[in-house]
Amino acid sequence: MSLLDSLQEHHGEKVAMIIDEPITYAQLIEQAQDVRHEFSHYKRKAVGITYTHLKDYVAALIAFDEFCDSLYLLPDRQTLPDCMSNSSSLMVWPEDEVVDFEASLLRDSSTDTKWFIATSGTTAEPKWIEHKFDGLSAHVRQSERMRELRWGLLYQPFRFAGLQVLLQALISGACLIDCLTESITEKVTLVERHKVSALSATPGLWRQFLMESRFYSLSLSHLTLGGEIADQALLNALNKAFPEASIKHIYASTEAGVGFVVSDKKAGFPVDWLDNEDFPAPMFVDQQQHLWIKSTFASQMVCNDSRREGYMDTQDIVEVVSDRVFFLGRASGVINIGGNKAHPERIEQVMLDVDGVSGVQVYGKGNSVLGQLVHAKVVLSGQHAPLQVKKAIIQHCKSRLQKYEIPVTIKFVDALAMTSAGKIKRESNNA
Amino acid sequence: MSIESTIKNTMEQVAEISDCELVDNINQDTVLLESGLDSLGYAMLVAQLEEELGFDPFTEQEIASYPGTFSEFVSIYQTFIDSH
Repeated sequence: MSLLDSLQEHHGEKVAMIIDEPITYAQLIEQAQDVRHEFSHYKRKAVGITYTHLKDYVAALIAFDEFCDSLYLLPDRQTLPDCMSNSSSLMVWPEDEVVDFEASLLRDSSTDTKWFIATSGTTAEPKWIEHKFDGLSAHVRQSERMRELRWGLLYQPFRFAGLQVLLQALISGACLIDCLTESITEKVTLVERHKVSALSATPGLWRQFLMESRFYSLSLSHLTLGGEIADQALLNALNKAFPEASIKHIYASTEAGVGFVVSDKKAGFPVDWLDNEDFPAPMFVDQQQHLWIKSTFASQMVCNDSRREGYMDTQDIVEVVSDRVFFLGRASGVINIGGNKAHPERIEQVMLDVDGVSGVQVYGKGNSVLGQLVHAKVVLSGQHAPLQVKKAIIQHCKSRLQKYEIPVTIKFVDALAMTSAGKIKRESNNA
Repeated sequence: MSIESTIKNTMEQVAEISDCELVDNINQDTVLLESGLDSLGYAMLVAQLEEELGFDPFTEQEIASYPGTFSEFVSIYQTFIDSH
């Protein structure tokens, strides 16, 4: 079933979205049909859509699903795919511009639109992950109660997390409210004004909500956590604030899609979900404590491993404590700062540019506000004064890195721990 | 130095690193979310204080309530010091 088909099942006069003013399902469908008509030359083509305005964006998603061959959700105009499925040019909406590609990757053509979502991370090249609409919408819950919900959209809809909220709201026939604003106080104001009842956010964002006094008088009935590790203290605090509400933490990634949902208000997940082929997303833990997950909807590219067919290494390190499996951090050393990913190697390269720095180790350390923060150990060269080098490092990092990538502490050490291969030791330090 | 001045000093350091501008005259009733520190700045504040004081009260105990104002933030640190 296409996105358009599923929306046509809802009552046309019901409010589908609130962006400054209400928009009904009928109006949204009409706009989508207009877009499809105006861009009829996009049929069976590869289309990239850029975000301008939420209503137009949603109308374009509806218009192009099961209409074009593939749909690329472009995070910005610069981030373009470097190889295309079935096509060597990309039509960029709404400018109607054609971008040509030299490389083309031929595949079997089918009527199903392939959706491509870019992985986040400003430091590493984003990867384009292929999804089918059936997979993206597989976890949408539909019921009379879900239809009455008012979902606040806190994340950009071209990201996996934002798209999940958008699809949950629209496919279930609920109402989606635009809460895309930078400041926490403004977010709370929008949630309050539009009587939002369901929110999905990272643990880092939930902790900030908890610091806002008006948060406690909101009428939230569905709280979802995702994108980072959900700890017990946070789950308890949310449960205390909204004792009647459903509180769930979701394990999902752009690569694997939605893995599983934990709804018992406890951190981690039950150990009997491991090694269970009957579980919707079968999982196992290998010798290195990596969690592997079988996801039928994930991209073929990441799933194909001959040794463990259908499973992918999530790169998440887990630990089993009695009857529960807990997440410890990322195997690759990637640091997750409230949902923003930082790559230690890249930060180290930037820091090594600074005069007086002869060695750097960047690592993530657990933080009670944003999950993890970036920290660094530095080996000085020659007779440089630590304080001056520290200032120079911060200055240089400010000009080259995102704010969340700048090390919060810089410790000067005599030597760095190295592996036998002479590489800097990467260990997950989330404690 | 009192815990309150340590926190204020650290806030200033963090504001400089994270390019945030603190509001003038931070007092007992200043709402943390309106103090000028963004979420990253606030996270850095807790991390820096952990470096200086050797503890993070938000991980070491079950949080009874999240701080809304500057005085509530200070009192969480003070309570931790008093009880250890």
